[in-house]
Amino acid sequence: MKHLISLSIKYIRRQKVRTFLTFMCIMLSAFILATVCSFGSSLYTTLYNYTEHDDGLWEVDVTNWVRQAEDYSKALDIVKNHAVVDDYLQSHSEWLSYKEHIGFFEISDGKSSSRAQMIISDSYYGNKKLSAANSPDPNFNLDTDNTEGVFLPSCFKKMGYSEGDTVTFTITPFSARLDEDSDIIKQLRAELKEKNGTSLTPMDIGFEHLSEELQQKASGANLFMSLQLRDIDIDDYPLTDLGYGEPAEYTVKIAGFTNGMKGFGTSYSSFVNTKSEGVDLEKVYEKNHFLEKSLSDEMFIRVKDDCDYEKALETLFTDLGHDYNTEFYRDTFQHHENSTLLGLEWKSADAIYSILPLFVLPLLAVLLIAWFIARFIIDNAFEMAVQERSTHFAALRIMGASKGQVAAIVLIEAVFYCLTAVPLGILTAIFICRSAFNSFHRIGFPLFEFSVKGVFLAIAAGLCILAILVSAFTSAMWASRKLSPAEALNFGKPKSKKRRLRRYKSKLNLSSKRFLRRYTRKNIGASKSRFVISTITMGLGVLMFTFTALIGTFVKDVSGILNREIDCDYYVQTLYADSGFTENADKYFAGNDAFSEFRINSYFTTGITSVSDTSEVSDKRLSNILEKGMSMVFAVDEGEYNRDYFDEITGMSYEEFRDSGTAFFNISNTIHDPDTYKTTEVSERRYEKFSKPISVEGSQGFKTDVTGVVYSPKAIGYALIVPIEMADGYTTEYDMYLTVNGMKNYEKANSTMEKYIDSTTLIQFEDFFMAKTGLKEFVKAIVKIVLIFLISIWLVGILSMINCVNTSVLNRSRELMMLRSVGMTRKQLRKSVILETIMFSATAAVIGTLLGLGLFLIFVYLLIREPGMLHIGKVATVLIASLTLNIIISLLSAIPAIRNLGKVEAIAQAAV
Amino acid sequence: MGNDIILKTEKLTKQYGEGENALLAVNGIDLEIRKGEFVAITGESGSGKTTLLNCLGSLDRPTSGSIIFDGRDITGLSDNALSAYRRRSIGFIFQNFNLIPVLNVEENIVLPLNLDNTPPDMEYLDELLRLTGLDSKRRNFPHELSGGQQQRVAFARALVHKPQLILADEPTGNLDSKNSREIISILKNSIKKYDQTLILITHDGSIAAQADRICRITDGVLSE
Repeated sequence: MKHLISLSIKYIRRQKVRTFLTFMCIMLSAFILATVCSFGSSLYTTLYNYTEHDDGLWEVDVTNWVRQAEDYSKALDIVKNHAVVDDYLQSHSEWLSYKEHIGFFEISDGKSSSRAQMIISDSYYGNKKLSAANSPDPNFNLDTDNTEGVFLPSCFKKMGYSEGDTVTFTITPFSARLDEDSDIIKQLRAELKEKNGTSLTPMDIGFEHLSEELQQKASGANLFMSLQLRDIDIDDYPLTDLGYGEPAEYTVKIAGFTNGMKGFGTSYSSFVNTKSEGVDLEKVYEKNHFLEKSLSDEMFIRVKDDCDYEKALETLFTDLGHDYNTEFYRDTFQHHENSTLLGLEWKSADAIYSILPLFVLPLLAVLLIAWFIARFIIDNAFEMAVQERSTHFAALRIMGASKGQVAAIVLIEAVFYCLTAVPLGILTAIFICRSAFNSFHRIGFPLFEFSVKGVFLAIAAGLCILAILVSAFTSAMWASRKLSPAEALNFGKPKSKKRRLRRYKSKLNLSSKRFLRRYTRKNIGASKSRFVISTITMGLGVLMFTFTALIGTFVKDVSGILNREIDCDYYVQTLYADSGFTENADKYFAGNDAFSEFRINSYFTTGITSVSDTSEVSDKRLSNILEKGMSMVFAVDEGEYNRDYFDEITGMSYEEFRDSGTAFFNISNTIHDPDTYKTTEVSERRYEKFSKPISVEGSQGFKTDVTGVVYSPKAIGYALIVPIEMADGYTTEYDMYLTVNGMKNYEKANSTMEKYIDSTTLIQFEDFFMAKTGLKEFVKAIVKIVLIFLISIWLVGILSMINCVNTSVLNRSRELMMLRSVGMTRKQLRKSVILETIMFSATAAVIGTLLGLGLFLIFVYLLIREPGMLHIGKVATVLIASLTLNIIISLLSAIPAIRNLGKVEAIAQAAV
Repeated sequence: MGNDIILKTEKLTKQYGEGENALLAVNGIDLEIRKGEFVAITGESGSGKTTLLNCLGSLDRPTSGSIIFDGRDITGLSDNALSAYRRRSIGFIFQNFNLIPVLNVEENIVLPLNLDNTPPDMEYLDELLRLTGLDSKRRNFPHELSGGQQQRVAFARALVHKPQLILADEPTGNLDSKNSREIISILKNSIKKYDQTLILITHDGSIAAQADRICRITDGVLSE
């Protein structure tokens, strides 16, 4: 055995080119498999991180099971201590508020006091990690496990207390009403009257006696909200007729302070209890039964890993006193599951099925393709390596080497490559995957995590080694069994047993093209299996290239469409803005270089009560609006004005427009195709100015001069465009759009936005960053990664082809020398090699391109079902480019074989 | 079989192809070769000389008939048994040297012994290298040798395990006359010294004339 090992090592050391080619093929194969597995593993971890971040680590919400139990407290204990429950999170909330009248709570330490409209006491038991990391409740993240005391409302800070202090305080409910004689209330009432036609709010007596129209107009009125909007603290509310209830006293240590919350005209004071101490609102309720008390409990659990998941749920459900067979699937016992997490943890069969199409199946499909590619490449490499040495193996067999000994030589080489090329390929893949995921971190995706789990690596290594051993074994068997020593010595390749002897009529005219074609076809036919394998390998490479190029173009188009459909990275909508809204927004965003775009607009309608001469208005619909109805008004700031091309079309800058105090109508000059998602301008952009402005008066004192009609791409037809400053008093709803100025400013932009949100109330906020600017960067990063993968598969195909043509030339050294000796020129020999290369590589390029196109069409038509997003022109361009490029590369791959013609000649001449 | 008959064939036949394409390369050959004999086989190209040699050396299985070597019928042996037979009892020399290019001269020569896990007789090895004039070339690789030197390595490899039977197929086909004479001389000395039997295929009349017996093969049929 040691001699066989020695011989194998000598082959590896001394046949450098062959060893290099085989090493590269195997390393690339390992790289491809390990890349798929590394990305799969990292994507798995990333998906798990996102799930943990967005949903938390809880697996089952058993709140309903506990609530429906006969003994609620006992049920909670059963869950917490159950054998199948690994971990739990119970959140308990108590709320106290006035039931019928306007009421408040006074929190007092005897020296100073503070008010709240509602008191909340929260407690958390168990492991908080089971909840989402980005819980909307800021109080959730307080450290209730390790801190002593109670987290008190921030009003205690105002009272002069600090963390660690012990405080004795009382909570006393009291009823009250707003002091109508106070200046502020009088002012608010007047404003309501002016705005709504009535000073009453739905909370006032007599409101229900108002006309339906007035009730509708005043339905949103709320004095407390108005006070809030004026930043008047609850402690400064003008109250009268105070009626106190019974106080409840508490003495606690201060663990810290909670964030106060404001709702729609309501302010809350929150107490958050810790494991060591708590504020039980039952004490207040016991003394003041007129209050309204609400309780809310949630129970989330994680099932132990070593339990059968379905059985565990059944056991717990039954142990809580419920009938599994009749009650488990009832609505009242509905239990939510964190399906994605359960699927990723491979716990619940249903959950696993749910993530199969999303994650498992695509990964398996890619892995399968990668394995086939690897298998072909390695097969090709070993076949070449063995066929080149067919005469050597024949000589060994003649010397008396057994079939096993000959096979052992090949298998020992396989072991060498397993120990060298495979680890190197895997390490390279890990390195590239790591840098790819780290780049995701850098571009603002902190939850993307590179992680290579042992299982995934083992799969990659196992599949690669399996491919190597299978290929080496088949090659070894060929070398030892199928190859007859006598045949190999004399002819260099094995003969089929059933081959018929054919008699050819000699057509040896070396200068004829027909001879060249016949000779080339004969060579390909003589080594059919080798050429088939190489064609398949190269074809697969071309398939992957074409498919990925088409997908890349498609994704770029789709992301472009998404980008067009989404206007911004951040969208903020106010619901009840005051007059200082735009000024406040300017403070944070105007001139801030973290944002490339910042604009505000507002829509409202006004009933047109009076209009001057409309004879110049040519558009019939516009005439109708002016004469009969309601007009939509679109108020724009400078950002919006310029974005919609109004400055170019009217020739007025925003400042000029604003200062003129005028307005103009906008009519859209575009049409939108819903199938292709494209918007096209059908007429030119223009400004039809009236010779004399039309004076328009609307309801609530709206008044402006309309100077003309603008035809623009702005997709808002028949709206009156006014400066944003004109909207004040007519609308309280504003829309704000911001776009981040590139990835590098993402953190600054995010931080500014967070500060703005903290400073305002009553806004709705949407973060589209990941779908807009973030998506572009995400797509760029993905494209880079896919490109690396592509290139490696492509290299593999090319290497395989070089291998094949090279070996074909080397194996025919005597034959080529014979042809030279009977008069074939070097040029003709080169032509023969090139023709050979073209014949099978062109086949591979055409088949691979067509298959790639086929796969792409299946993806678009059957999987994502968006044929409308296909651009035939782009697809055709990619196909032609793929075909041309691959054929050129194939031709270039013939160069090493052509160069070898010279070497072959020299060797053959030396042997004569 | 007589005591000194080392190799015997009975109705040895080798057919290639089937039906109308069938070709009888060796047609019912009966042959007896004594121990220590030098037999030359001549014949035209395609007459079946190489096929006969391949069958005798167990490189090819005959279609019918038997081959008895040293009293043992080898036609029905398993592949492993035939491999062992070739390793220990046969020395092959071909026209194309068939050296292993990644092994040097000494490694090529001792290869049959390595395959048999037999340690080489270093004295005999040195003698072989001296006889073949390769003493100073033991560390050289085949591509560093001339054609004549490469053939001498092949010779030495065929003799290193002291086989009972040496089969040579046109061993001097690629050599000049000087090298040819030297190789034949080495062979004859070796078979005399070690009581080996030599069956040699040749087109060279002068080499054939040095044999103890000349057999002629025509269309697969042997005659003397």
